[in-house]
Amino acid sequence: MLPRCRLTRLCWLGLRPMSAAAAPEPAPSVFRTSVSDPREHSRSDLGRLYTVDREDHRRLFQVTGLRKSLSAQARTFCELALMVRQPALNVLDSLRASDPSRPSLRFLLYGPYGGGKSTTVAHVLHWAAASGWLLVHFPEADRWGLRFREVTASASDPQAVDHPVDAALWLAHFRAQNAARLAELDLRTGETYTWSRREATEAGSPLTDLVELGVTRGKHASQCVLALLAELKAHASAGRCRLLMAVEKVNAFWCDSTARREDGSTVKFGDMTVIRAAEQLLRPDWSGGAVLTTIAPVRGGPEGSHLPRHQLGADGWRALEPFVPIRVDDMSRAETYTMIDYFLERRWLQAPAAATERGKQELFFRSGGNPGKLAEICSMY
Amino acid sequence: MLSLCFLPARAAVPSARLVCVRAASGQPAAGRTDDPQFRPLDIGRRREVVQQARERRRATLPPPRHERQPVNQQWGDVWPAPRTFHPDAVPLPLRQGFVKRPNAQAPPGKHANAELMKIANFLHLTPPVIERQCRALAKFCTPWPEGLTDERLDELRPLEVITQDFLHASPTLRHPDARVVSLKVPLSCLDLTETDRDKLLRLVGDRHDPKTDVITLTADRCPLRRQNRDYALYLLTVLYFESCKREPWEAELRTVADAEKFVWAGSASEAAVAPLGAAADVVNSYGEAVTRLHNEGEDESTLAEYRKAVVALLGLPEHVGAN
Repeated sequence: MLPRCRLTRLCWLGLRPMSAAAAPEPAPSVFRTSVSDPREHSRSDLGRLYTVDREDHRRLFQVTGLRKSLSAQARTFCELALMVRQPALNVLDSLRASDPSRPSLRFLLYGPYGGGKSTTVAHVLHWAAASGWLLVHFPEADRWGLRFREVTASASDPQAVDHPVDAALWLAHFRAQNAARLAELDLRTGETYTWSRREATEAGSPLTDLVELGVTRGKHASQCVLALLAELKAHASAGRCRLLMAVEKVNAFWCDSTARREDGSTVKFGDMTVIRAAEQLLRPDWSGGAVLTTIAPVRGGPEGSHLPRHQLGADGWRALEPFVPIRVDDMSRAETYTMIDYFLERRWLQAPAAATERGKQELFFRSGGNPGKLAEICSMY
Repeated sequence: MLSLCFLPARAAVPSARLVCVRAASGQPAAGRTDDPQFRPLDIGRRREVVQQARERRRATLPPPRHERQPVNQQWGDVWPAPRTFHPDAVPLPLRQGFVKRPNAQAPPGKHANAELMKIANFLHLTPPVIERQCRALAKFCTPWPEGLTDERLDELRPLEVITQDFLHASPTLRHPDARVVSLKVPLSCLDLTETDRDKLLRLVGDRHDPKTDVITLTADRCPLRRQNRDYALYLLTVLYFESCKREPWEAELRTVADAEKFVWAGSASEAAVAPLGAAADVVNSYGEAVTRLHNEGEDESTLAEYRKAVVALLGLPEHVGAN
């Protein structure tokens, strides 16, 4: 049984409705774009911030999904504002042009730490949700093997490993992101899943049943994820839905985890049921969707270069190719000034010098255009 | 005086002590009166006296040879053969030696300088002397063959044997490093197939220079140079013939992971791309991009090329690949 109080706390930890007097209304300005529907984002919106609709924000990122810093910023500013940048537009253009009958496209975002990879993923997720795609979002793939809450040996395969709590939480996140769309599409399971002597999900039951079962029964949550993703893959290939899978830090899939079995052997990420479920969708044998991944150095992964081939390793490369590598770089001077203007408008930057040209130059110099670094520095002023 | 006071009975004899022996020089000391009866006592050699004697002695010697040598002399005649350094014959203001405070003291000069005398000098082999000797030897030489250029020599004699000879001042004639022999061979002169070459490179390791394609074998394990040379040649022979051998397990156990270079044909990458059904030239350019990325290393330029190739392969908008 999931700790409901915990879920409730997570829900309410998100957007807290504030009184109109406290939340300053965003004034029309150069650094914002009024186009809040990502389906309409184009080159003219480049370098400007758009505000994610409150409902969308709650739906997509209520349980989890945003980086902690971005989530805290959204809470503080009473809005989630994302910058429209070239890497995201490239992905969106490719997805718009993609053919659902062809094998799914694979994208890989790479770049310096704090450069905006997760934010790009958030933007693309928003677009996909607005376009009616189903979302399978793994916010931090390395957490499954490095900072997991609990792992147990799998019932079906003694070498495999399940995540009772984490998988259930993930299914709650999936449900929050996709509930409305799933209800619209009314997708059904293709085969019967027997969980125990008394519990079974018959063929033809709605997929939401699988989700509900996983959320409530942690014991079967991992297997539910496996079944759910297999079903979604089949539906997408059959053309009944469009599916976007987003996996952040996908290079962790081919690393060792910190979990150990009873005999002391190391559990690889590839031994985990949930990871195997995600790997189903990494294979090129399905159509009607796309896979968006990011890489970042993880503990236990290869040291050295942060570039794709090195971080993925031979196995990861073989699993993902051919993919489109997209670099998410630090911000340009104009983009940095946009962010600074935004912080000023939100009263986050308090120092009067920050509004001057000299102050902006100094902030750009100190951060190097890196969004994460800029946010860190601006929190001091 | 005292004796005269207390012994009035004795006769007044002038004391013999006061009659002193004058020093060898008949000159009185400065400031002393020239009294013939009371000559001053001079014990020891006075500085001025010694110096004057020295100067007189020096004046009788001729000046050192380096001051008398004409400027246009033939140095080869002055120093015809190896000789210990002699300061007066060498017209150079040389200084050699250790000083404790180099900022305050000049190193010792060339006269009576043991350091300069100990070391070997080559004053007998100045360039004009060498030229003269070469001219004398030239009549015993034949002209260099015209067609024998450096490139032709590399073809005919690719093997290079490098040894070092040492000149040293030491109790023994032998120098321990003189026994070391190095062998340089360009691999192009060896008859090797691809697999032979790969095997040889694995055996040889760091000794192969990829830029010049030359392997260097150094032998120093034997006490004599001749033995080391024979050993190095033996080593080269063994390397060549071992790399031509094939073990039965090589064909069975060799996997893709053992390959030293990525080969597109028959690879997993080619198989992954085949189902996409793209045009042959697009697939080929993708193959080239992947091969470059794996073989030349991953950096922004090879990744950019890969990105362009993938975008063309998957039929995506071109600007996505232009990033």
